Amino acid sequence: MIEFQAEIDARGLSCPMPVKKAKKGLKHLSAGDVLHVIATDPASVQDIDILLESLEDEMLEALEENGEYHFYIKKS
Amino acid sequence: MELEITTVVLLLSFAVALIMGAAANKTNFCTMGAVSDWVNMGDTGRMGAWMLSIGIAIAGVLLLQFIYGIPLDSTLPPYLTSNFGWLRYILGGFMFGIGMTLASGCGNKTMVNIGGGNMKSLVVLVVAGIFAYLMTKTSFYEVLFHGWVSATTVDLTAYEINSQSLDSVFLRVFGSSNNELFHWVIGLLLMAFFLFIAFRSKDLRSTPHNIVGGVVIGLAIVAGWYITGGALGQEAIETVEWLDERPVGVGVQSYTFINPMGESISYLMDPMNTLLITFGLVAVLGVITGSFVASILSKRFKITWFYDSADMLKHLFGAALMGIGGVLGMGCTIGQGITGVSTLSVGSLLVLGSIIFGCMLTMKVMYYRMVYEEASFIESLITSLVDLKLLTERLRKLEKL
Repeated sequence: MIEFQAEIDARGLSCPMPVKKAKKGLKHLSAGDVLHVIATDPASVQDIDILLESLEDEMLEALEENGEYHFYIKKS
Repeated sequence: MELEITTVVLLLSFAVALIMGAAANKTNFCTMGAVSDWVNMGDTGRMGAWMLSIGIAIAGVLLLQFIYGIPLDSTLPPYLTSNFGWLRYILGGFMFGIGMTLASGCGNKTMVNIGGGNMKSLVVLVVAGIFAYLMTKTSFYEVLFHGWVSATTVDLTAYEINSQSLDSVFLRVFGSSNNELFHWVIGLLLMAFFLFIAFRSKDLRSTPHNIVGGVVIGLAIVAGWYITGGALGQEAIETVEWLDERPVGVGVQSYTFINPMGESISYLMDPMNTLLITFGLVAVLGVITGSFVASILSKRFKITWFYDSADMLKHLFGAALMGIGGVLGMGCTIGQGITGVSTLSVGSLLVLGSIIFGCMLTMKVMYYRMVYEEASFIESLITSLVDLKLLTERLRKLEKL
């Protein structure tokens, strides 16, 4: 289990809300902190990939469990 | 025998829509997502795909006109009508742009989502369809919109302009007598413009799936024009003229999705009446089916529902705006944005711009409200308009994000 400093619950939200919430969550973190994002919208997988490319933050792990997508993002 | 021709047209239209739905699902082609990626993340990959599809559609239509002489003077809807309803185009597009953002996707994406198991989008389809039905089949439009739309519609023939195609407008401005040359020049320039915008995007160039999505959607629009306006389609139109009971919606057209949602509601109210099965209705079914197949094959089919009542209300309001705006603007991101623009219609370009603006503004307002939880709607709106350079920086209410 990856340690994280903040968590965003975007379960039940549809595009573009999960990526907006993830972006907001990352904004408040310091460099090196990890954000845990939980989403249920399949589109969030690609959306968050694109977000990280633009912000140059790092995806530590992305996994799907019981219909939920978990993203562990490290702020660069 | 007569009905067989129209049935063939419908079946071919369904097949192309099926490919559209599968391609949109697989490549994540999404016009609302295109604006979201651009506004929220500065990524223009999906916007590039949308622009690419428009460029391809323009190229294809020019080719169809050159080879087959496909007539575009009386399409469904009449993209090139000389009645230039500029205010309805702008307001309709703007409303649609807001609506599709709240409802998590445009008409096409709504159907792709349904195919992927998103039952929220099914509700959006029904509600948008109901409002589209109200706009087209009841006095709803007449009571709320007809007066001011008529008052602001410009009759271009009074200015010796016989259609709202870009080349007709330029022809009048430059006073040239060479209609045909202008048509090809303007058409090729507009095609080049959209292809340039598309391939200028490094994000598009570096994502093959976005290129594929743009190409397939663009070609699907061209296929729609060819099916309904080529030899087969022309024969269907001529055949139907002789029938005592004519199928609804037979004419030269290509893919658009809001009016067809209304047509779907119309059909559901009288399902035994096969005359109500239109090009638009089979397009809706085709996209949903294609997306469903793609979802199943890629094991991404998943039933989803509203998270809470606020989520539901947001989608319902968005759907209503899509239904009303989509009919008012005579089309959606695909219907006007690609199909309409492929005819070189000035009105379609206006709607396209208005949809993108409405979507961008809504995205920004939503984001400011999310980040600044205590900010009012008005503060978020004014700040968003400042971001979009429509108001001066002095009026900014919230720190720039």
